Amino acid sequence: MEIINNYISSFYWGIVDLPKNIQIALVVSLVSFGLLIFFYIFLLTKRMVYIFYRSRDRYWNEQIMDLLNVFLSDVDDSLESDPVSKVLPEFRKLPLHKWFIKRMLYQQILNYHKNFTGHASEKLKELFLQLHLDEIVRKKLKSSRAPIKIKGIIDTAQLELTHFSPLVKKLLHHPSADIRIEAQAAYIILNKAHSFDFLGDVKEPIQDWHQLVLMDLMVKLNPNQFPHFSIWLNSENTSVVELCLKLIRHFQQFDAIENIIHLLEHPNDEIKLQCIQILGEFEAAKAEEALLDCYNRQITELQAPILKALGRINSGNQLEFLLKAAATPQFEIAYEASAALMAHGSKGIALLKHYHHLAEPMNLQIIDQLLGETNNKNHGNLA
Amino acid sequence: METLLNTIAIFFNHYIFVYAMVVMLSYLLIIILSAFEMRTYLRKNSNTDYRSILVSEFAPSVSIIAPAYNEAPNIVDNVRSLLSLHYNKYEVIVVNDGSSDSTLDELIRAFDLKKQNYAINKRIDTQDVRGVFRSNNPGLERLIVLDKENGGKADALNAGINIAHNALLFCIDADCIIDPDAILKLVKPFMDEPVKVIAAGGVVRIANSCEINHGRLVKVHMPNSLLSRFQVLEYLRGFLLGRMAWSRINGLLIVSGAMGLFDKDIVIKCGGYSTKTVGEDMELVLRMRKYMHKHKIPYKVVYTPDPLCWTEAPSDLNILGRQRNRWSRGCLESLIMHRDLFFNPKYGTLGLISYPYWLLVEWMGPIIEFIGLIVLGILIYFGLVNWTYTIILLVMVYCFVLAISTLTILYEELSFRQYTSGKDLVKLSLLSFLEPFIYHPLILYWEMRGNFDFLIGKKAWGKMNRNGFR
Amino acid sequence: MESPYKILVIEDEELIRKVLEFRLKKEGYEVYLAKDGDEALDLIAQHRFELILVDVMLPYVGGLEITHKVKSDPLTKDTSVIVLSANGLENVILEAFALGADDFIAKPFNLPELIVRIKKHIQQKTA
Repeated sequence: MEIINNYISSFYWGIVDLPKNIQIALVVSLVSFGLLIFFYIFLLTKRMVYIFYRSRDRYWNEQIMDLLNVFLSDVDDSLESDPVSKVLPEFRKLPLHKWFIKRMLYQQILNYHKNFTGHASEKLKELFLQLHLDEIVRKKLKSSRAPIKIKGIIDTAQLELTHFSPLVKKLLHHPSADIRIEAQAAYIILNKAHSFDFLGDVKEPIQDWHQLVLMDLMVKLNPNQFPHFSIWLNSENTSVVELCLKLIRHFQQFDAIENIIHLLEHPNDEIKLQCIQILGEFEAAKAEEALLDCYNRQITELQAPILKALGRINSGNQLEFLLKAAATPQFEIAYEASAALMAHGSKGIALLKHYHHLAEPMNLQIIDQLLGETNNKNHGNLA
Repeated sequence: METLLNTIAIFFNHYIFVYAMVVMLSYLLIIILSAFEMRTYLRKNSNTDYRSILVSEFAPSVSIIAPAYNEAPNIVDNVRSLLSLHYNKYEVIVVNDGSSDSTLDELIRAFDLKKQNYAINKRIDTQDVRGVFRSNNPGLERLIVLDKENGGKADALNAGINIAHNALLFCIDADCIIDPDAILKLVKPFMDEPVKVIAAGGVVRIANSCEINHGRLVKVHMPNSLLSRFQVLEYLRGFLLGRMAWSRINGLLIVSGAMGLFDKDIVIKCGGYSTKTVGEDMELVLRMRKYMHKHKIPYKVVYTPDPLCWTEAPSDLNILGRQRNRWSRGCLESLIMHRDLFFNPKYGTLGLISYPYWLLVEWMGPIIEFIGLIVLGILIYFGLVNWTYTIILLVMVYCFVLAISTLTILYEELSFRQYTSGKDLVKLSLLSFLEPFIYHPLILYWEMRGNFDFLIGKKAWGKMNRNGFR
Repeated sequence: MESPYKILVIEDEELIRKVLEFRLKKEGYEVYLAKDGDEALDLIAQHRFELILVDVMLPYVGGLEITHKVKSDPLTKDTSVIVLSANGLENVILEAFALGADDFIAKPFNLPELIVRIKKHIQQKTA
């Protein structure tokens, strides 16, 4: 004992005598070495755990999928009057008291529901409820961890679990933007009146990603039940205006044209651009004057789209104007003006061909390109 | 003489030690930041259904620009895999940078291309474009092939930018293998960050010895050659630790030239890629960042830790040496071109943290190490060295470096687990033990050569042999 | 007894593969599975299929390329090809038909409807 004590104390005093940097070096080495061992142990355990779970999960997944496959066949078999009751005892035979199995079953039913439509989809939902798996959804909705909550919302929307609508409603104005948008999207599905009222309330910007999520779900719904999105076009929230414009465009709400023409004076360039594009796509003849009117007040990036829109409107009244624009040295303007003339068919093409031998090299290139492309289309793409 | 050497020894002991401590502390910070960033990324995207971006008309359109120089053996396979990426609204612009082999002919033949009349908006100045080709096949509408006079990678990219029609540019190396979901994953940050995203990069992985079929990655393996294996470890460290950490504080200085997604508008406003440097990828990002600061627009350069791109790493000492030499020179060129960033508060994180770090740690680190080794050599020669202390110090550095490398391997295991076989993990660990003795000295030498070559004014890219993937 | 008709299902999502395998086997077909284009091409080279069900978005060799290969090879051009695609990719569907696909169905799909269509295509061929 004495010897050990002596050894330790001489060791200690030996260290204390060392210069500061060597002391630090020793500490760092020890700590690093310790961490090294720790990392390797951690790595090994993770690997082993992973391998274990993988084989276990694979086994149970097979069992569950086999049951679900048989279930789906019964569903499609017109002779089976109540496939859910028939298969329920089989599912109950699974050791559902084990949390991971219950969770696996939950996820698989959701996966199946996601991939198949029609009668199968209804029956899967029925099975889900009969197995009381909606309790898991409730737990997720009430979870304090954001990703779990979001999963709960997504699953609620997917299965259309309308009895959870109040829970989702509470999340409509949640401080986290990610939760809010999923809740808003889910609420639209659950609440068959397709409530878009949140568009009037929302103060924070709706990010592009969120707009996409909303859009993704809306294309699955019946467009006749949508409101006229033009009511929110005078919102202070620019992202709401953007979203509404996109929706008006996709769902072709032509009644919004008047409102859009007014929006051409909006301070935000992105919104102006969208308006110009929509008016072109809608071939809104009554917008032509307004477009021409504001043309000279715009930056180049907006003038080019105006020319494109005029091409789509194709009224035939602006050929001179377009020709002048086609002769400018600015590439984008010259290009769009020439393309707009081409869009006017034979009249426009004739004008371009006439101007051809007067054109500057750049404009000449543009005209040649456009004429070439039209030729290709007409001759059925060569081949 | 002896007092001079003693003074040097003391200087060496104290100041270089302090420098080493600072560098190690910065590594600790990097580890913490990258852990947070990784966690945030995985949590954020655990519920993301990328397929909804795939089919949505609200998704942004992308122009892929792939410059190609003498890529004849692989070009058709690679372009084919670019044409079948998982994305809907995109075009593929292949720029043949005056290849001396049959690259263009291969393309014309395989894709039934025909020369078109095409007007090019020369927003950025480039070498002459000899022709624009599109396919007769209606199913290949996405493809545009540009043939031009040789001008280098930056010049080829600029030519592609001039004819790109979409708002986002995906600039890649034609010989890289791009993951089918790459655009889906890179595009998302452009849509869901609260500030404007100007550039996004992903992880570049090493493809050597992976099973590759017709330009697609089939199975991941650790490379066979020792040199390539070392690079795997190096890339993992750089990408999973380094870039994640910098992304966290929005201080990312570089988006890999192998693959990057950029906002076209900003790129053009900055004047496109610079043909004056061999490190054009880093230089562009620097310039884009400065532009945003100058115009006081809040922005972000993001980074996703997903493995999205696979590249053939040099497995030959000479070629690797040339590559590292080029990287060294490119880095130095960019640092000098933008030296006005140094501790300049006008440029926020970029000027106060990123640039100084790159200069004082990334660039100066190897130089100090090199000087340290020389001094050590001199001291040993004169018998002035305390062996116990020296060994303790070297052990400290070795243990620390090992811990970092092991942590990297752990990160890889916890996140994307590309190297699923246990054997590959063992190989990685063994490498981490050997690296400081074998690989690191090589890298150090090449970096020094790079600096030296820069001083004497070397400019070229050096020849890169294209073996093609087997 | 005549040999059962052979169907190839090329789909990267495991669930759809498994479900289709189960159902089609139940209907009496001999079912082969491939999870990507390379596997599929190997199988196509080895067997003569009556019908191929292929997802447009496959990881490696694309579904469209497979359609093209099958329909342009004189040995296999009689094989019926049904294309599966995520909803919303109309341009891709048009391209599939241009390359010779015989039918398409959008995901998520109605399973019994798909089975009926498969049966119809096979019957039409062998009639």
